Amino acid sequence: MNIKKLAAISATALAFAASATGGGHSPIEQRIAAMKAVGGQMRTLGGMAQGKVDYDDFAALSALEIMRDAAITARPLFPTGTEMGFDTRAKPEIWAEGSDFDAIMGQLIANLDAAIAAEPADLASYRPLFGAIAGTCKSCHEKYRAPEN
Amino acid sequence: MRLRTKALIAASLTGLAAWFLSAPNPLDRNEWQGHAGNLARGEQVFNIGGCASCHMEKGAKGEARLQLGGGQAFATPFGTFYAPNISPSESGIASWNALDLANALLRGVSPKQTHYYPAFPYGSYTRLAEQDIADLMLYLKTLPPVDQANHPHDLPFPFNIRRSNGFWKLLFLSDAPIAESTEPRGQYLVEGLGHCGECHTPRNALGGLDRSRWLAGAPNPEGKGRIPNLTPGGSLANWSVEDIAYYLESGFTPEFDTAGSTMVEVIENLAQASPEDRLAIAHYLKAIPALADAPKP
Repeated sequence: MNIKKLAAISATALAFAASATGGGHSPIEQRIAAMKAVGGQMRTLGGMAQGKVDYDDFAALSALEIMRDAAITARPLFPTGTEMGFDTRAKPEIWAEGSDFDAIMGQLIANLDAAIAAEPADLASYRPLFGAIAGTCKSCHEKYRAPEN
Repeated sequence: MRLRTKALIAASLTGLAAWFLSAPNPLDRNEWQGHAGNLARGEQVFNIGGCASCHMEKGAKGEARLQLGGGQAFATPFGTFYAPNISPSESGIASWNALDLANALLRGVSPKQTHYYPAFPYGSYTRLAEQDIADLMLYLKTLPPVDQANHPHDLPFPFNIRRSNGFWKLLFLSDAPIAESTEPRGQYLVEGLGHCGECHTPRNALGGLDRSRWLAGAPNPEGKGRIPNLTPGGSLANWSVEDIAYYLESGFTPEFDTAGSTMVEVIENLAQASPEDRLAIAHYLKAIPALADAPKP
């Protein structure tokens, strides 16, 4: 990975992170925008993992960086008192006793960090890293996200 | 005859008719074929049927998904139901034979000849093949016994009268096909074993499925949001057959959003089905009548 690529990645990541926080003033609007930014990268990342699109290490790393920054943005945007409003699909279980919501968010960020640090050069080394990330998405959505309205 | 006597006789006759009409209707013992079960196929039936999702402990993962002691609560407009123990223990189904299981699945009748409530989706399972039931029985008997007594349902009057399910069955229980389809396997899986319609089709006031809105989406009984429309008139309009099959295996939509809530559990089960079965489901769904989403409440 050369310096130019890294710079390009960081620039895109910054731009996206900025747009992720630009979704309005309330934490609910902001986290919806941030989670959309997380999900938006999944199309690139998932398409490559599924084999629909050829694996491109540069594109993968850019997407991972953007997703990590958006996840970091989203994590603190679930304070108590934001259970309702703006068509949020966040389930009340997030704020219930014994919730591991924040822990899963932390795990997502850790998995993204690990994938970025590994700089996967080919599809074979990329796939398991993507699997771990996607697994955290699923385990969290199962418990803490309601269906669409 | 005096008027009062006449009225009394009329009332008794009505009561008698109601009693007969609401009677459990088990299979004819002599017509049940003694199929030899197949264990591997039984496991497939178990997975596609999604038995574990309701009968395991809520949120169980891995091996614990096979401990079917029951106890999960299901809040509905008719009261709260508790899933019973279907593990091979004394509190469960240790004493059952394949005919008992067939009566439960096809007729909603227990070995004690009482009605089950349709929270147990026999309205769909009534379409099951006898062979699948024999296979499933064999498989259920191999699972770990869990010694846990059943929790009684918590239902207000009149739903606490078990006999009233007889009327529900008269109105709604039918093994006739629902949609026209050229995909018999997919139809069997969606309308029967997979019981997709139980959540994805709206219900009328009496809890029967509204077949005119078959798979067109429904309110989420667990609270927020709606159970999605699966017809080609909803958000699946732009999904290919392969997209649907991939979703049922991986939990990823074509946008790589992930399945949420209860569907995660369903996908965990369907991921263990054969690729052919997932494709059959997809082909069936692409060919059912397209219905628009219900207007937002």
